[in-house]
Amino acid sequence: MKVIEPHIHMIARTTQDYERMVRMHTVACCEPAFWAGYDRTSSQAFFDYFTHISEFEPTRAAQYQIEHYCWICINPKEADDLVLAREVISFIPEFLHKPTVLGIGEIGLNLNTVNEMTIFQEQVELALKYEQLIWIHTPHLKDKLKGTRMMLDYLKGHGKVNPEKVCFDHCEEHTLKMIVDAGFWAAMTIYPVTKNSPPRVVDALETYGIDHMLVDASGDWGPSDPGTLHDAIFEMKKRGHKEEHMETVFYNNPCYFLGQCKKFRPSPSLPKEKAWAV
Amino acid sequence: MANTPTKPVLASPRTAEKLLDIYFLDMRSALLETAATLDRIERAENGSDIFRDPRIGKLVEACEILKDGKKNRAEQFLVLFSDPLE
Repeated sequence: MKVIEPHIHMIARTTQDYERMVRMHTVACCEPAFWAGYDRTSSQAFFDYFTHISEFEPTRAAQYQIEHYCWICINPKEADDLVLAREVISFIPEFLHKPTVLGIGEIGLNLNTVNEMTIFQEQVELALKYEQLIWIHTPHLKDKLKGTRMMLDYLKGHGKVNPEKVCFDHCEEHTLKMIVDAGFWAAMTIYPVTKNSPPRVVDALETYGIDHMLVDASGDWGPSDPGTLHDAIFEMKKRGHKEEHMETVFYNNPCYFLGQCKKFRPSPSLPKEKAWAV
Repeated sequence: MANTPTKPVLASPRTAEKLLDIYFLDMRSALLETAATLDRIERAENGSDIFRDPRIGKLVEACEILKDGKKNRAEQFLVLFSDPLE
């Protein structure tokens, strides 16, 4: 069974992770622009970072027969500085035409500040102007519920945002229902301590179904493991779920969402109406 | 306000008894680790005082969620540890 990793920060991972991913049948991975573990000192540092994830990482991944895609944005952890954020936003459009850039992301909130929300809104407008997909970072821990609600209310009230083209990531049990009820895509991140475990991800699939649902392992510079995506597949097997449902969640669903960007090349094995009929 | 429960739309092929067999030791282990960690904290200097920390209070409240018999325990747990919406 082929697997797509919808959210991983490969800039922070070793080539051994690419080796492990290809051995686990990962055929494509997607890298949203995010915080580097420290605050960058200038907008030029973002320009270099965007160049790295849109030009160098695809060549590194290609050595392991993995297609590497990315998302471009000013991330929420560095969005509170409005001057810096707007400098970065000014050159995002020149990256959007690159052959592996899928859209604007991961935009969102971190501490739910007024400035973060302003930059989130400005980047939603940028995505609409350039007809881009949107990948959303929801805050961690105690800030997640409120931050998710703030962004969801804004997008629902916007009037021009198509939920089919927007994915909320890092969803958990207390935020999933509001997102799927509003018609948006929901992604769950498997990450030690602060996000989901493989069993809880499968619990959510059993509760909310497999349509419009994505799962990612979110490997980054912290304690994390691309292999946890495959732990979730094993968890579904352990519970006796059908392989066709696993393929829907871990391969076809990423194709359905990401394939709305014509640059994304993997194609689904089934039409979604058939794949989602459980 | 917690989300209301929804019916399972990808039904578990396993029976409840089989799932308990699979997960019992994992659940026992998770609770045991919490109990042992509280003991560890209490043994340290100022150990008894630290139990007034609101974070410990939240953990005790979370234990009540396990006891109350309502569904959506994980969701209730996360809401308990979230900033209020208003």
